[in-house]
Amino acid sequence: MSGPSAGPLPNPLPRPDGELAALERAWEGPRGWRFPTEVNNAWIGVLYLGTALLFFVLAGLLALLMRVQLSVAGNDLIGHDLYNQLFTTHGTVMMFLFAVPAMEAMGVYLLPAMLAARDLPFPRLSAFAYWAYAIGGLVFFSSIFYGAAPDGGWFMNPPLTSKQYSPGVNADFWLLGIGFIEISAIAGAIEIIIGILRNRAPGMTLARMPIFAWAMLVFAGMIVFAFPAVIWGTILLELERAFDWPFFRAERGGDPLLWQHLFWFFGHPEVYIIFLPAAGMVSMILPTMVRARLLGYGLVAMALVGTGFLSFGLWVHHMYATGIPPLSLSFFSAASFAVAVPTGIQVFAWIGTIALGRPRAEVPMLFILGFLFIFVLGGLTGVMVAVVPFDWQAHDTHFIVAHLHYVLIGGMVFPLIAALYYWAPLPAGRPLSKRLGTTAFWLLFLGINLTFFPMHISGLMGMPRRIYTYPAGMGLDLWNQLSTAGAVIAAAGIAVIVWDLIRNFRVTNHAGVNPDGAGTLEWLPQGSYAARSIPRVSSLEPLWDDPALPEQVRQGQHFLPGTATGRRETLVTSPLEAEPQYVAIIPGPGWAHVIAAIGTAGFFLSLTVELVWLAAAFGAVAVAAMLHWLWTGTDLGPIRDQVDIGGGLRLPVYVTGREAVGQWAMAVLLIVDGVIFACLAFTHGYLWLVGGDAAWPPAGTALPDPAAPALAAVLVAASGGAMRLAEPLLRRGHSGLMILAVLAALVLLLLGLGADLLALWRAGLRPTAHSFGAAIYANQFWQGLHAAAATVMTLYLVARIGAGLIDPVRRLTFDNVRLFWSYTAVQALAGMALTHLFPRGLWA
Amino acid sequence: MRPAALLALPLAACSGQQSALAPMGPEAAGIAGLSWLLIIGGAAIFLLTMLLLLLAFRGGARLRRRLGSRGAILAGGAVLPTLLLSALLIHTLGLADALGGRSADPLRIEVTGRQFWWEVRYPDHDVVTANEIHIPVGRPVELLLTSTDVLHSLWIPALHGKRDMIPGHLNRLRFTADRPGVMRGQCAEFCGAQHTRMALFAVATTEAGFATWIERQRTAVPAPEDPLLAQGRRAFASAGCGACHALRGTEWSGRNGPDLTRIGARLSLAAGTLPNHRDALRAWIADPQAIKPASAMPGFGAVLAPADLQALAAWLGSLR
Amino acid sequence: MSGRAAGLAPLIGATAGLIVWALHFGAIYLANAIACGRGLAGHRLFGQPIIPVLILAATALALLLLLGIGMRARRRPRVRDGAGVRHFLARLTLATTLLAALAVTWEGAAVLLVGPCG
Repeated sequence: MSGPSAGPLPNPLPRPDGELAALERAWEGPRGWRFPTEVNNAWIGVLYLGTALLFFVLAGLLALLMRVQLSVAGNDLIGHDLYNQLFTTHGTVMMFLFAVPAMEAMGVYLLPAMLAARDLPFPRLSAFAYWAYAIGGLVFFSSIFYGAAPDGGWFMNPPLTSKQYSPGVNADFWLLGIGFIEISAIAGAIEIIIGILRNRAPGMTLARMPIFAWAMLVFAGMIVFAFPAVIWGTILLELERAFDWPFFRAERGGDPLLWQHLFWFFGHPEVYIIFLPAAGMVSMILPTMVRARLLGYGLVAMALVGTGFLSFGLWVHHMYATGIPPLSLSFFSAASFAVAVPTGIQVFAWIGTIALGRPRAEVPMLFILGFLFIFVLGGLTGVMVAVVPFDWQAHDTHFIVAHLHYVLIGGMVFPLIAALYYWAPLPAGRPLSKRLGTTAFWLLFLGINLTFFPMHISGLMGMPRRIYTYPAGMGLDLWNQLSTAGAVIAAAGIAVIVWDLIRNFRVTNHAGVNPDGAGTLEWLPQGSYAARSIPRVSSLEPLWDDPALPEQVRQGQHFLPGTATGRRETLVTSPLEAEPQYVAIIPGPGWAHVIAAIGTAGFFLSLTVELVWLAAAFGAVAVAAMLHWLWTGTDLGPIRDQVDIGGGLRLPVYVTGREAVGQWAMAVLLIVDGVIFACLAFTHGYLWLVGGDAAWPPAGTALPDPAAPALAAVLVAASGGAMRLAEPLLRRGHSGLMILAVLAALVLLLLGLGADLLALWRAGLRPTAHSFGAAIYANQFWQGLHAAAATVMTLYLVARIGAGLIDPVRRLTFDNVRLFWSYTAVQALAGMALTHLFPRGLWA
Repeated sequence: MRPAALLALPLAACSGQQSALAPMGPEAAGIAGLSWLLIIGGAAIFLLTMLLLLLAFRGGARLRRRLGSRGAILAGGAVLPTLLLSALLIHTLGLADALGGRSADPLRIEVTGRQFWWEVRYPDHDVVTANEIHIPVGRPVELLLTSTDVLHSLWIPALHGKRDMIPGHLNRLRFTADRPGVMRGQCAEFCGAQHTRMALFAVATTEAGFATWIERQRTAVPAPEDPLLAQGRRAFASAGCGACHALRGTEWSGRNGPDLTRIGARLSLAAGTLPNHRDALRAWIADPQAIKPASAMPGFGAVLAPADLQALAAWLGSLR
Repeated sequence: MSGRAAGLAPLIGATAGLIVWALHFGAIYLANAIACGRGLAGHRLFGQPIIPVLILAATALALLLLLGIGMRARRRPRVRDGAGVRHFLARLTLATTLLAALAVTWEGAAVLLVGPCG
């Protein structure tokens, strides 16, 4: 393995005339009113982060109002109605519209530079996710101004949020806001997972990947497994609200706890989804701040992966008081203890790194120290609330408010501000103010501790959460006054940061500075095309090990110093060892993703206010825009022969099969899909377990004769077979026969799913009567969504074949449809087995 | 008196504590002891970690080299937490098990959460009341908890931790009071508009005092002889209060609102919202929506003449 | 191009211990939930209460699997490939397996201290 400077560099000097100009032309961003068409993650990342910070400030203002209301006992400044909207919106916005998007923003902004990639593989997907999030989020937030904001708590427990107890549109606005973040989180996760695994610089093996990339890989992986639970939960809640399907209504066989299981199966990992990227950022910033390599890289990577897994064994620790069997609670208590160990490992790795280096009093360093103080305290109260009997007292009191803010502000906001000050020179070309940053740090550090430390005491002294006032004489007055004073101080700290940003932050994305002398690749000289050329990496801190590297990169002496096809490209490497595999062409500016985002936002908004036809119109616009972008921007085929990227490496610009990033994206999407289906199966089994054998299905329920679903299953299986048959036809170039096979597959699938639905309906089963029918029709609903998607995909595929855009070589579209098809058929068969054999088959 | 002024009355001054750290029974005392163990242990670990962080900056070269080793990460981050947490796990799981323990013949009380008050039944004594739990000192109590509308959670910190009330579920909470006194409790699971004003009181008395109280609850409400009180009873009838409220031994058996059989003897009105005296009672009946907006109770200030209102409050107040 | 064919399997393999943890956790949680929900906690297996027997058996099996994964990972590091990535993944496997073993032990041990259904 040769170091970057050991042998001759891949591309000799001088570089040919026009190479740089062509590269700049390919990456030139749109100007003026065309700005929304930009898809480059370097720009989208900054926009994303700016929008997330806007939501942070807005939700913070709501918190300030709540603190004013609670400053004296018996205050009647804010009534119950507004107060309930305030805390619900504050929590929802902070978790869904600030924390997760902010971390995705840091990911899509930093990762391309850190991995020395031109960009991540699906920039238009990121851009679409951003616009959907920005539009949907702002509309959601504005609901507070006309009293329509959700008021059922950020966890939205039914039956309070069921139609009977929340008849207004408020709860639907919550579901709307969540819908957007679900879309943008999944889109971001796909982009980040594949970007990290496939877009690393050559030689940047998994063992040399920046620790932030590990953190983001775990982050995105966790989104893939955690978000499906909340996606499924929100689908159920909306089905219950809109169509009266009683999933959560006890009097019709439902159970409110089903929601809590689904919500917290997402909600607890969510905390670590927010924390792990922040921990990753700390592990990146700290080495620069103390001028020492991160101690225990492997252990820290293990801690990130381990935390990611174990955090899925904690969800019931939000449900200790619900009456779950005590032994079950102990499993979660033990798992909560276990997750403390990897966190401890990270804390001591940071302490050790500081001990090895020479710390400098820069603003990021201050925020990291503040992070350690606040986060360690919050982590210890976290161990306390993991103890079952203690939690029975602390749960749903201000003690928990204190704990969660210590963990989230300490564990996420402080690292994020450290990151803001540390990485600001990348987009802006110059640092933020050290004086203002230091002032902000002290205001925030004092303010946050003063706000939240007294809440430990007021909570144990009997102050529950989510109350808009409290009587005098309970001993709560002093602690609340201290908290309010602290909140004002902390707000001043945020104001100072905002002022600093206004004064000193101008995005250019043409940085060439490395003010702190950092060692990782994001500090290479950057243009709109990221690094001019892509170096071979042989260590964790290439810039420390090879001081000549930045200049070589800037002059184009490393791989891919220009554009090989005249378009935007990014280098795709192998997942473990980062060996170059191909040069992927990626999309440039366009309107399609913006229109798709507007269509998506309009679709959900119209549904929320029950304008069904308008929703259908918006939905059609969104689908059309997406199809347009797929048609024009994906599966371009081998438009060039192999291209030379330097160092004797000749790479294709188009691959299919297991190496293609497009297939990876479909695979990740199908994993999400599969986890949602697992949640569906869990719903079925859970309602059976709670309902009891005698009552689930309820007496008098008739299921169709097994012959009907058996026929349906045969049709679905035949559909899968027809799609398989299309593959050899494609290889032999029989386009016409292939169209027939694909259309036959679609017809068979629709017939199979339709036969199953019809049989259920004709047997007399209805979704509104009982949770049994509701669960079965929820299954049907999910299969129906897949049938709709399959229809669109098939027609698209047929159109591509008809237009001659599919052939034995250029077949990515077909491969993706086929992959989706295999999944859909298997899922449909599994869904039928669940409907017709469980629990009926248990005793038969 | 204006509603706002009523609310400002120092309600808690006449009521009990609501602190998890001031236990009145062995279960809460066990948790309070555990809490102090966790607080002190947590503080010690926090200070130790911060000391190590300080030493990472200011310590001698040898110490810093030692901190900056993989061994230090494993010792401080893995081995030490494993040992401490193992000990804590054994201790706390044992305690959790003991707190769930059954006793042979507890006093059973059914408490049902309603938006936004508590229905309380003593199934073995045929007693129904609201927003107040009376228990004898020293006798094990088992609360049977459920809800008929949304989620609630019963929390009387001086006696035990909280336990959720969930439609379709029956949860149990077992505890004992080991000294007489009045304790405040509150709904701890957000339950809608007036979650804030959903408190209750637990009153622990001697066995004799408890027996007297039970007997009182079982006694039918007598027809009043005093003309003012009789006028109040007539007002109750004419305003239709019995559609929602029950009074033992009368024709009124409504179940939508609290049973009012011994309303005059209760510590508070509207689930801990107001102290219980005649003025408060009158103000509450006249305009409950000003005092506890979104409560299910409609206002009768426009329905009843002032004199009738006065008499109604006097009669209800006399039901002690 | 040694790394080309490898795919993702070695990375997923490095989390094998944690996958065992997840399966064990899911299994014991489900077993206890079903036993309590269906009133089966009073049943006996080999003369012992059924829940502790099942959970301890599942825990022993999980620990055995973890031991196997850990031993395999300990042997691997001697095979060094060019970029050291397999060596790194083997160490990652070992560390995550140790963490998983700790979590499995704690969770399984709870059955010795806490009654199943309350």
